[in-house]
Amino acid sequence: MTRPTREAERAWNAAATAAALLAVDPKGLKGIRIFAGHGPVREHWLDLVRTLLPGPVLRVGAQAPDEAWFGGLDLAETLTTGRRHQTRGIVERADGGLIVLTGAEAMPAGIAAQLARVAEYGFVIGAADHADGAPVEVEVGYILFDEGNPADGRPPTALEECSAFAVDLDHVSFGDLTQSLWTRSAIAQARRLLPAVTAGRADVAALARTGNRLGVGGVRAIILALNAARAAAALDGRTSIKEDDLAIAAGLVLAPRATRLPDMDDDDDAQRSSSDAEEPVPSPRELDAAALPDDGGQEDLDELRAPTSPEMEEIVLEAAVAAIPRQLLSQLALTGTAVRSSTGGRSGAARRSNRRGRPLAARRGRPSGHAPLDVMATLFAAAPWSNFRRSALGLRRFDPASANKDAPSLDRLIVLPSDFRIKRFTERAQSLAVFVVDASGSMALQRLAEAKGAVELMLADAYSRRDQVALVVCSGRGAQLVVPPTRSLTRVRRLLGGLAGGGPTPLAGALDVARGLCVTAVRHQQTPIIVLLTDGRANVSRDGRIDRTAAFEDALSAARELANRSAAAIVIDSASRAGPNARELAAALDATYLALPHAEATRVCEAVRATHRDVERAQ
Amino acid sequence: MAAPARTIVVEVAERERGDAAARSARPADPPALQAATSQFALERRQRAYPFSAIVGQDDMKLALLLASIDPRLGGVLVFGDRGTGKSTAVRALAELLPPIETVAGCPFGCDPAVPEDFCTNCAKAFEQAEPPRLRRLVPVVDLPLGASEDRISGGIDLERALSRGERVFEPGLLAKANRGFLYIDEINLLEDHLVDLLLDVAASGENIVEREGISVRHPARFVLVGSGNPEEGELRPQLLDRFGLAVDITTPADIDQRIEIVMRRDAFERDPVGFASAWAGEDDALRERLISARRQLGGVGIPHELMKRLAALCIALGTDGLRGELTLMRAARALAAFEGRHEVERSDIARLARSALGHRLRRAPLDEAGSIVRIERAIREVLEA
Repeated sequence: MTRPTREAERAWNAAATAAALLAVDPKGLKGIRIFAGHGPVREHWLDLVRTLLPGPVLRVGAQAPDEAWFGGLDLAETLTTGRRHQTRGIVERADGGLIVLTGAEAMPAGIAAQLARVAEYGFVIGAADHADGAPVEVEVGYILFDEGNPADGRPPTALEECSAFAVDLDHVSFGDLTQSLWTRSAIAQARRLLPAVTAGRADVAALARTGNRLGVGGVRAIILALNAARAAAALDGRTSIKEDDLAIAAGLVLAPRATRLPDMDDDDDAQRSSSDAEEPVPSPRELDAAALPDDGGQEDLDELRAPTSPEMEEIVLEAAVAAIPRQLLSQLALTGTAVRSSTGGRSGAARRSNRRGRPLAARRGRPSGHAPLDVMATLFAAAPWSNFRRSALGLRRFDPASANKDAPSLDRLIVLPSDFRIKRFTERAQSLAVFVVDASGSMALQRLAEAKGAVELMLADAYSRRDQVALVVCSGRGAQLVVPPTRSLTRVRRLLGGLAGGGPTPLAGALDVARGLCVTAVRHQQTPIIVLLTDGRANVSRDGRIDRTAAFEDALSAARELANRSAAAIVIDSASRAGPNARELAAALDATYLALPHAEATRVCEAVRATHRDVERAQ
Repeated sequence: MAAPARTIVVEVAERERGDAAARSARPADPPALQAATSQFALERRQRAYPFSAIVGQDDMKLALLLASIDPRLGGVLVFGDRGTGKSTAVRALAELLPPIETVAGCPFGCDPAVPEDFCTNCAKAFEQAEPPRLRRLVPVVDLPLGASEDRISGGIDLERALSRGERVFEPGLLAKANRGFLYIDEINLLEDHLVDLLLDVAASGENIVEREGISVRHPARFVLVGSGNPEEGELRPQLLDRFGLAVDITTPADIDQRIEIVMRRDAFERDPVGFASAWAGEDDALRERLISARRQLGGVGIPHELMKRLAALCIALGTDGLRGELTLMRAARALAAFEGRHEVERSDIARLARSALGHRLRRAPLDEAGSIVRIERAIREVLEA
């Protein structure tokens, strides 16, 4: 049992190092994403950050509204004093420190984008109601807690991208924790040293090349890595960057962003360090079941860890590869590209509503049953006009000087219908069509093409319907979530790019992935519709064995579990001669059955729309 | 080339100091003005990344420059991945563009040389008298996503309403952006009704505020610059069409280019002032080109034959309405002026067709890079035939 502990120790060391680097340069590194469930390990890590960082560490729920983040008008103070009074936002109060975001996955993309910009530019561009618009200068970084529950979705990409580090503490238990290597005074010393640390072109080149070979898009990641290397050098008491610093930076900043494995062809004769390899263990976080243990893959992993030429870039690259999170590594090894389960299209999918969902800024309007009055916003709107209205009505003017004595009350406020503000909310998109495509055997390419066509059609008028689509493909031994729920054509286009079919059919696995999506969708007030394109000939069981009978049994039970989620479903039998299997599957799924040997995209699309209408009518 | 620019900066600073002194003598100055000046002062202190130091991204840089040569081009939309220098380029513009003359004390920054465009205040105050002048940077106003409608178009001055019981209009961001740029990062996340409002004002050049007891109309001529990442939700097609130029930008794939970007960015972050002065010469040269391009713009012609081909190109591509043609023509003129020519050439149109027309084509949703291919084909068949 030494292996998991060593692994855990490594993860904890990475987290502790990241905390120290962040404390040295919060401005340049901007944040960290921590994968960890709620628990003592996470709290212990946070305590470590609090010990090391001289600035404030504020904990905030992600649902806080705009004014809470960026400040707004303090109505009570303003009325009492007769002068504009602003509240200070969370961002301003966290100046020089870090904001801990719990439940960041629920944060609206708009606010996330603004927070990311604050970290980026170092100033708040004014709160919702600042009149002068003079930027308030602040330095903040973010700690994103990602509980790793796929049903909750992921933190907004804007914040993910601006944060330098990502660390996984999921497999670390309290017993694995070690004493911190750094003290607050060491950090303070490093902070003083930091401005003197210089970086050369060779350092930048090493990081940029490593980034390129790992498929890290964007220049920002390289800049963050450079800042991390610099902080590491300062922490070590040096003013020049060494290989070790670059290796640390590559491991903590570049590795978690890897989208592919470097081409290691030229390292064939490198010797292997077999002791260091560990099996890719599928974690519960993984939405797609791509990471089945595989003996062939094991050898590949060994090779990746092999020491290579002593050249600096190779060392840096190696450090980065060694630090790639396990589940990402196995995904990369199996599929060649990482499928990030981020729900990128989320923001665009929201629609305005007056009844439910996440609150938006209030708007002028007539309150009604569908549009409840926003009392605070209405008072805010009425406040400045009060004195004019009082004088128009022949009443005594409100005098701020005497107000303090005889406690001001709101009956001084004259509210007219023009002040009414109504509440608005964003509501999740109406439907999520989950395409589960059986891309196995000879029919693979054709079926995939049809599914692509249907996805395309579904999205074609997504502007008016606000539908989302997701695409699960089962081929080979795994089921992959190729297109996470999205409404963005750009994203779908990119993800569908290099999709290939062939191999056996792990239908049960695919249905399990679809079920995960349904749970998330329902939580987000979406109506999921499953569209299963298959010939029903499953041949890979849940435990990865090739066994027709077991595989079909598993598929049926997966289908029943899915049906329990009360998701509407359509089974499209794409076999050239309709067989009983798909029909049986449809019955288990409680689904509409369609035999379409050449499922044309338009007919698939029509069927989905019809089902959607039925579901809506039923509600 | 470096010397004249520094003189300009010093001059602006001195004028502003002089103005501040004058202001302390005149206590009745509207607070809005103080706020406005304080912001411009701050922007100078922050020192934006120099425009000339931006590596690559030529399409975007060209679109921004053309929009500043001819503001009637109607806005620039920049779509692409995060961290590709969108915001950097827009911020850099403020420092690059030649400072403007404004009526001192006017919250809308009226141009003293163009009395017919004065706001109502200036028109009343300076009917006879010569307005006091103030030189300042071209405003580049950042619009935060959470901004309320009142904050954008202006509303009642809360403090004065409460403390002195005066009903005074407090100008919003649109007023501040007059004669400059209004920049919205992540425009695809901005609420639809606000985007509509902005595009309406940008098209009419005038902001009208009607509230209880307040009726204000003031000039709001600005170039709208929007940027966003299409993977986070796309802009509605009807809004897309209202931007003059649209460019897609991507992270440079070339490794040396990326290294250069990081090196420069790093140098800038460590010593902003030193870095900016190292690039001042380049920025000055570019500024001179812009100034002469603006002067020359009115004299740039398009041969009749080329105009016909331009129209044929738009017809071949099936762009709806005349907006595409107008934009392409204006952009081509601005490009010719920027390159010091008096006549638009075929190559100008070929070079700009993508940014002026690409976002106006009806396209199949998953038609990968389809619009680019179609435009290139049309250019070959219509323009170069």
